Amino acid sequence: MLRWRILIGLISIIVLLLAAGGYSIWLLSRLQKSIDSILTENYESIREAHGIRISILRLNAHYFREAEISFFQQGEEPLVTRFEPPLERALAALRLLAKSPEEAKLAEQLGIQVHGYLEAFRNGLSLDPKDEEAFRAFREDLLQRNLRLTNLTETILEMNEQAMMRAQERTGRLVTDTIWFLIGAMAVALAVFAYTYIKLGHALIGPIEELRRSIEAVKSRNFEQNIPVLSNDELGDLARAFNEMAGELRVFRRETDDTILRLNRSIRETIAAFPYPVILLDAQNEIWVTNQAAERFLDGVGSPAGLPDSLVRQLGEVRRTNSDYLPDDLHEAMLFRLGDREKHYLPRILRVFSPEGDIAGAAVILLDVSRFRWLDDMKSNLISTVSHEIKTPLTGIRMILHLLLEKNCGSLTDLQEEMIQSACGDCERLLTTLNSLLELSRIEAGRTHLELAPVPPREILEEARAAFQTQADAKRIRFTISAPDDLSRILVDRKRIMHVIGNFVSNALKFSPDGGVVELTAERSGADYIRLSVIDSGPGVPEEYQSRVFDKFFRAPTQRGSDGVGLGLAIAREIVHAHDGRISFSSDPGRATRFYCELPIA
Amino acid sequence: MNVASTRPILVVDDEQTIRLGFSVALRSVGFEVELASSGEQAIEFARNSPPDCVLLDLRMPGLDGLQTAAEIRDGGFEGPIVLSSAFADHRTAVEALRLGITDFLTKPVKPTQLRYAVNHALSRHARFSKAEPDDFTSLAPDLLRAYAKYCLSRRRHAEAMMALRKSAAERRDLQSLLLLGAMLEMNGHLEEAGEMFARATELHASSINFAASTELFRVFSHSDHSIED
Repeated sequence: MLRWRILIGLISIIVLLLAAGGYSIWLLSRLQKSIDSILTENYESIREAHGIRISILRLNAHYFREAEISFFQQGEEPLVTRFEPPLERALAALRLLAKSPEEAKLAEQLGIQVHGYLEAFRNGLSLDPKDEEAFRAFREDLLQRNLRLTNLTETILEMNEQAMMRAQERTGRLVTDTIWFLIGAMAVALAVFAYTYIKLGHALIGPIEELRRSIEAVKSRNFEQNIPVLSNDELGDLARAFNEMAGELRVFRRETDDTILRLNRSIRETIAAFPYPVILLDAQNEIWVTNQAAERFLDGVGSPAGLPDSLVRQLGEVRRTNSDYLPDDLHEAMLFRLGDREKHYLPRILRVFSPEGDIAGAAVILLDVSRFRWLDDMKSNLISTVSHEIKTPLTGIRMILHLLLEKNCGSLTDLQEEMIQSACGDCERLLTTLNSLLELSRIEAGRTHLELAPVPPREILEEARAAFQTQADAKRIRFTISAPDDLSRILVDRKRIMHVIGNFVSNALKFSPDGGVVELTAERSGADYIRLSVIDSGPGVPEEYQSRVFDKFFRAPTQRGSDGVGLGLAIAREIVHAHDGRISFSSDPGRATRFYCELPIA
Repeated sequence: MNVASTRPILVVDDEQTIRLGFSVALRSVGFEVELASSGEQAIEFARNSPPDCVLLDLRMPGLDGLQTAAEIRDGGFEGPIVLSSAFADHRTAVEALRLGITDFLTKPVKPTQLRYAVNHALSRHARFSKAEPDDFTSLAPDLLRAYAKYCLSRRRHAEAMMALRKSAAERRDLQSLLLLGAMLEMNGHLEEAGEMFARATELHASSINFAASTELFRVFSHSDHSIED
């Protein structure tokens, strides 16, 4: 186990440390002891030997001084008696301090010599001072003994000095040994450390490095990772756990891949079964997936490798504005020439997002609306043809009726005049309807040319008020206008927008109760639009009809009997759409109804 | 009410009711009216007895209004021609201008509108044919446009253009701008023509317009789109 290995590595270093420390302590204490012995034993021996010598010297000196004068006074305690105990103590000490048989022998000899000397000295005291001969012999003997004693003590001193020298040498060797031992211990410790480090490094860093590489690989989705389990320690466990995880990931990926594959297949089949061209593009606008219809389409338009330019432009717009392009107006359809046939496709472009929320591509679905377009054109042509065919004779009828009313061709009875007036009114209504229908079919066909010019919104409201003032007065309806003075101008075809607002106002007047108020307002709506509203306090639009208000020929049942054919708001819607504007209403039945259009700022 | 005319007004229309209506409307105020139901008939009549004014329908079976006008002009007729149609478009209008037609009526038309248009054309013509100004630059500004129209009917295009330029410059006149634009377009100066039409549009959007101007505006302004009413 890794922990044990670390422990063993550290323990060996600690043991080494303790051993070196213990040995050093032991050596130091030995050193101290040897220094102590030098200082105590030899120094004492030397001191005792000196003591003996000095005692002997003092005895000699005393003797020779006394002998010159009167020698010994009678009754006086002899000096030798005072010197004897210390000499005995010194001798005992020397004997005790002797460390070798040689020294012991010397000490013994010294003892004999000292005793002999003391004996001789004591004998000398009892000599007759007059006996010169005896004195001379005594003096001679004492001198001899003295000389021997001095020699002996000299020898002892010398011996001890030599012992001291030896001890000092020993101590020096000991210190040198200690230094070498410590150097050795340090070297061994270093070696053990190096060994442990290298061994542990191999055991630790190698597997960790391997694991890191494998984790990096898994991070980049390569789950085929298996790291060798080299040991039974924690690292081995880690490697095993990692291998298990990689295995689980492999299984998970296989399952996910299967699901994705199934899903992908069903999506492809669904797309393939789609009768309309479906093209999926990646983030670089490269074609990624197409169905058969799309392949036929791309081949047909002669750009099998990429989208036609018009679609690429639209795609760019989708990316730029970051909003899907989902037109529902047939006039947004694009014309493509497939071989010798012309086809109208209504493109629907949806953004495809990556899981991170970025735009990862786009789906282009081309709805084939050729048939609708054809029907629509047919309808427009029909309306236009029929209208014109009706209009020509109507022109003649109208002319004649007007001429009759002028009474240049003869007078009319009141009844005749009333009948012709009535016919004239119908004629006008018919013409208005025809004109509305023509206008609508023309705007729908996109053939209307807008005369765009910047106009202050307030002017439009003022103009609408002026145009309807008489009608309003008849019902005692009051107009209010609210438009900030600093409002931006709008870029519109003035006459056509007047038509729109006029339509709103006309409806508002129609449905407002007598004496009511019609509000005309202009306000900012977002950054690029101005909203023009006409608000009345009429009954409003019943909920069930709200979705159909802008439909052609739509008239709420409550509206039956009033004039108009229900084209006004349909035309208004087409006009506003032609301006890239928005038209809508909000109704709070019984309280207020607001019809409004939002038009681009100039 | 009407300008004294010595010669008849020729009404050309394939629709019997229209011919009847127009003739009654004009006769009732003292005009003499001759009727023709086709272009061919009108050309024949104009050759034999030149009228004061021709009221011409644009869309007719056989020769249409423009072809008929061309023939009549080739026959030496220099009087006013009023083109009536429910189907005028810009290109037709420019073509008509080339044939010296400066008066347009859009059907349906009321008797008063008809009489106004005819009177207007006749009086203008009468004024200048009796005594042509030696130097049109000395004309009062409000007569410049009428003089230009007179010149156009005689196909004196250069003179007409100068008069129109002067009128457009001095009076900011909508009709002059439109006619000038059409003439420039006729001569192939499309860029300058576009400028004139743009100025006319601006003027039209910002001013109260008289019926005649609006009529002309409707005929001329939609450069690429047909006018069908």
